[in-house]
Amino acid sequence: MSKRALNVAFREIDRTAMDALLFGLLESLDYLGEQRRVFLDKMESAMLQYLVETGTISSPGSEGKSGHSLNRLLANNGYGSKHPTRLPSRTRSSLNMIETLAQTGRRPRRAGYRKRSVPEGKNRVDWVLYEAVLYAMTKALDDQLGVQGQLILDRIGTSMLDYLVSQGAIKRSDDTNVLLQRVIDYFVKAGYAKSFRFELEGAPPDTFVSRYESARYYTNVFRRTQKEGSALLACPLCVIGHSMWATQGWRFGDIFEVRISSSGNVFSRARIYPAGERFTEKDALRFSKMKVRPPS
Amino acid sequence: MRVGELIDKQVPGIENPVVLLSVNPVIYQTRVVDAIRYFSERFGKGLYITLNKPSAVLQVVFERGGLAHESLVYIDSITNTPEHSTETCHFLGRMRELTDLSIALAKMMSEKEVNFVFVDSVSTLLIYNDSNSVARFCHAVTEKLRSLNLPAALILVEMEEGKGIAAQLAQFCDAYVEAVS
Repeated sequence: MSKRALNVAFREIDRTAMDALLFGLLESLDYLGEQRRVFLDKMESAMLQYLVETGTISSPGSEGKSGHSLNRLLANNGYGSKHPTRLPSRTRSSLNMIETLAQTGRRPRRAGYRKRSVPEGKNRVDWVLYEAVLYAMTKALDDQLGVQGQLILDRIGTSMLDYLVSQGAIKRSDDTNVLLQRVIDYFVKAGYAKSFRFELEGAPPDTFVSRYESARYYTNVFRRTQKEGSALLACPLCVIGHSMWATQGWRFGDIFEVRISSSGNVFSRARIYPAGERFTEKDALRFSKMKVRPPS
Repeated sequence: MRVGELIDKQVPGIENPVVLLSVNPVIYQTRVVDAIRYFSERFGKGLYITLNKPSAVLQVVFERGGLAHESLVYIDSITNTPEHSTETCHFLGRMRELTDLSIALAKMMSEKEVNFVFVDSVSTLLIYNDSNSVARFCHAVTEKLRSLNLPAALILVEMEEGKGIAAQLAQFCDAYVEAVS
């Protein structure tokens, strides 16, 4: 790949990755029925805030300006025009912005989804739009649920993988390691990061070590959400990984060490827990025997 | 209906109820404030185990909700800090083992005069623990609380991931209260 092509790759990401994210997001909130709108509206407002604060769209200072720049951003990325035109949006369209973006995406063949065509030649979307969605879903879930929002993020990972497999972007394998490598290969090719490597530390393994090159999610989104006090991890590669490893009984804990360079090189260490019970009968018995002074 | 009314309706004759409180994620925060206010008004000072949001954030939310600062002490296993104690909080560090949590619980119940325990939330434990361990932990905690005659609430956020464990936990609680609207 030429140097120019590489630069382009990290300003844009494969549209299928964006579609998978939106599909996973909506699918994982489906069980809430109409109430999912509460989350989607919070996401929409966080997304608009992100786009304004990153200078991607104009601030709502001058009348109509922000709406025009948002229109332009969405149109340039091949998305429709049914989205809020004001910040904050008082007179909204019937569809939330997340839903509008998702409607334009390619859907697995099933009832309930309208299919629209994506303009030819727009097989990639601006990274900033992708990271705005990642930021928005982290922010909304954290504000609403705190750390337990990670359960929803990991479920989004499961749905994203299903979507990517259904679209032929990733070939399914019964071997977790093979499938994981295919997921990594896809995301690197899609423009998520220049490279990704991982290793396990400890015997039995207790630490998951990740190394990325040029990973925009970490420089732009993760840094920001951490600064805002969130412990959630929305990295698409990670949440897909979490959901895959969970099928083998593995659990992921917090990232207890992370170094992010301005060029997007990332080194992180996260706690992992192999399958098996971690509060045994013996632990329960020990706890029951602990002397506790009763309240007076 | 308020959480307190739901509890009173389901366990009218029990003096120190241990309840499993299932909460819709859309109204999670308001229901938690509602529930903690009820427990605090009915039983006095309580121990709040927070696994979800830092105790510093919760204190502000609760004070805004009309709860006096001194009505709660905390075990905080979400704030990213090495283990240490202050007057009102035992900071465990983020996502600690269930055994560490049980030791901290015993310690806080011994050291502080608390009249109820609030676990927020069982769902968070499911992120990094298997459901059998979480169920066993909750069972051990409720047994301990019963032996001390202490009421408690275990919060479970309504999600796909918690469905299996809800039935298990409900067996050793006095009531399964659904605060879904």
